[in-house]
Amino acid sequence: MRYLSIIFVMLMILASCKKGPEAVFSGKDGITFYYKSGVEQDSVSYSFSFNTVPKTKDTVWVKMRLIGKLSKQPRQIKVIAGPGTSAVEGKHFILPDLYLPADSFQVRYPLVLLSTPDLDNKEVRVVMEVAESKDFIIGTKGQSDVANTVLFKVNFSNRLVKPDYWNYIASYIGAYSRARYQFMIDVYGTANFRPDTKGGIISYAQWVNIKGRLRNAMDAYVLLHGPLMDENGAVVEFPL
Amino acid sequence: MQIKQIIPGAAICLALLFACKKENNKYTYNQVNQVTVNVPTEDLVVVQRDMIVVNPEITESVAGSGPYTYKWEIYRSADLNSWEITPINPATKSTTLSTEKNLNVPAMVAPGTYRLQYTITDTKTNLKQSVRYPLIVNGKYYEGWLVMADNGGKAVLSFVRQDNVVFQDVIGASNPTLTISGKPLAAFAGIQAKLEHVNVFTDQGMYRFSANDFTFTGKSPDLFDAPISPVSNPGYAVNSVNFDQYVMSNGSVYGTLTPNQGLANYSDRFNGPAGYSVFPYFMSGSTYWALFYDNNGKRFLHTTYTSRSFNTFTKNTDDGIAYDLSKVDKTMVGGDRGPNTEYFLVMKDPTGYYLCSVLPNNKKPTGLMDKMDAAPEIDQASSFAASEVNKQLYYTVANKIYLYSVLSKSAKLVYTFPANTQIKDLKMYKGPGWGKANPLYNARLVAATYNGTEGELYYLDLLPIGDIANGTYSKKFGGFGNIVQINFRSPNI
Repeated sequence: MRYLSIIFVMLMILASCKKGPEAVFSGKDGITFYYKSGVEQDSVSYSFSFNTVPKTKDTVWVKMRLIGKLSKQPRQIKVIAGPGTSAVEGKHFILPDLYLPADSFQVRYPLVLLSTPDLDNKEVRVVMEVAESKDFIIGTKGQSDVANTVLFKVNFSNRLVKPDYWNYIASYIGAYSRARYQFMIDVYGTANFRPDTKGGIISYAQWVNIKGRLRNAMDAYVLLHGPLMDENGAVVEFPL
Repeated sequence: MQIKQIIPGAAICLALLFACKKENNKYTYNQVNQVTVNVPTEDLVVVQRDMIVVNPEITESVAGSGPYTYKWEIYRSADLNSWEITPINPATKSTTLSTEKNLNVPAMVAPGTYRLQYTITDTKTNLKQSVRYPLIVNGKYYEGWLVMADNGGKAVLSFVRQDNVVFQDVIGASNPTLTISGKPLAAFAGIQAKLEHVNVFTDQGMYRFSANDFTFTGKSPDLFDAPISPVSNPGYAVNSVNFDQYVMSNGSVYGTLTPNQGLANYSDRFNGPAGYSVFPYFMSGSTYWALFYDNNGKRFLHTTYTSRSFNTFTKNTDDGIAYDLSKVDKTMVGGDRGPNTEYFLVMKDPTGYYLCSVLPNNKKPTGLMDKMDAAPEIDQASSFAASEVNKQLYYTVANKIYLYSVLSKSAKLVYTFPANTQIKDLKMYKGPGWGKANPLYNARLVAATYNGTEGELYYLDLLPIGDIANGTYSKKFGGFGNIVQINFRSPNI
């Protein structure tokens, strides 16, 4: 009888085992901006003066992605002007309504920039901020190969704007000034000097040559016009 | 406790106790076979596609051991040097060449330096023994003299290999459909690590080839940011730190990085003082990485690595200096590198000819400025070659070779070719500054000649005092056209 009791207790213990629940995320899905770490960053610059055909408005596309599960339904994304915004919504920029398409996990948000006369002499900023919508909460920030962010900054103007990658090329061509940048644009016929380390195509070996060409061009300019002064009163020169 | 529980318990304890017994330590030891492989003492050197043959001598400590299995593998040398392995230069796995005892396979890998690993495994004990051999795989044109000639107006490049095998028209042989336009001017080799180029200049541009097999890899204007045609007085050099390549033409300098640093076209003409016009000769040292002479401004110019701009020297007011680098006031006509990175340059001004020396290793690089009053026919000299052992400079005039002693400031005639033979170029056989030394470095002059019908290449070996050994040449190669220039192609590293 005693052995029967022991066997019965052991069977009860065994029978009480059951599979634990799977550890899965549950909750409302989120959405964030994102960019490739290292190559891209959480801000860009735009100038209406880059356009060879004048434009009164243009679109800056900012990448967004889902934090959560796919859905068979389009879902509303809400972006607002966040703290630090100096541009005026409706006058300088528009934040349109956007839906994440069904069965999609990423989308490009179209920030519409408007060229107004007051931007001829100043640079403004819009800080795009992810806001909670009926379908999404604000997604989580994080950074690995791809960085998620809920704030994305766009600096813009009608005049030249310091490119977001300038700090990475300053050792080749010097500190930013609008006069220096305009001179480079005049020499090369393009405003895009994005290096290959920041998503562009200009390699280190090419930068070595570019600074030589800019020095030659500056010598020719000085011969004709005298020294080129920038907006800060400094002489524009290019490094050896 | 009941007796029927005590008795089984005691029985188990007794059984455990009696299970113990003393270890008698009686083992049987057998000698394990050890294999020894005799390693070649010399580097294995083969030409690409030739057979790699190694018959290793194997000894075993226990006769009759085995059977054995064998494996021959090849590694790039870079794969065995951790400092050379980077994200853009990842290590590659070895390639198995053979599983036979003796190696007898063709060298099908790219020219370069390798490690050949031989592993022998005793299948009875599974013990392995490995040895590594240095293996150098050379291209067909691994080392030798580039001979640029004009064959009836056509540019023809030939190659005299280190083992005295002559290859005529190597460009035509490797590129049957390629047309080299223009009058031939010069050919230069650029060999350092990944840089394995031969650049051929005509008056219409530059053509680039692989130094290993002379396959065509590009030409101007495609290789340049700006046009360089028409070409005149071309030159080509790589700086000592293997960062930059320089092309000189028509007094201008164009630069690009070496393949180790990045790929780009040659730059625009170097930025520098207005109207500069460099003599096509490059000097490099540990203080001044890149030094040129401006024949228009009559001064030295310098630049640093990865720069495309020249600097001028500041005026030197030191007492006792032979000349001022910023204001030499003479025209350079030729030169070559002497001992201890002292460059001997021949310069002229209305008062005569001068031996000028510059030492770019030094913080103050000014050297000599000696008038060459005792240098016969120096005003007609066309080629110059210096020893890196003796302070001596050879120069050629028509069919004659003179030896100028920098120390005694005088020259003497050391060799004369037949009267109808013109010396077209003269070079000293020199090492690249790395790799194995060759006893003939700085002990062999190489003269290119033309007698009106045939171009010839002569090896003139030198005595320690600089005279021509036995008063004649040691080797002669013929069959070339009207040679315009020669240059050495050093081995790959």
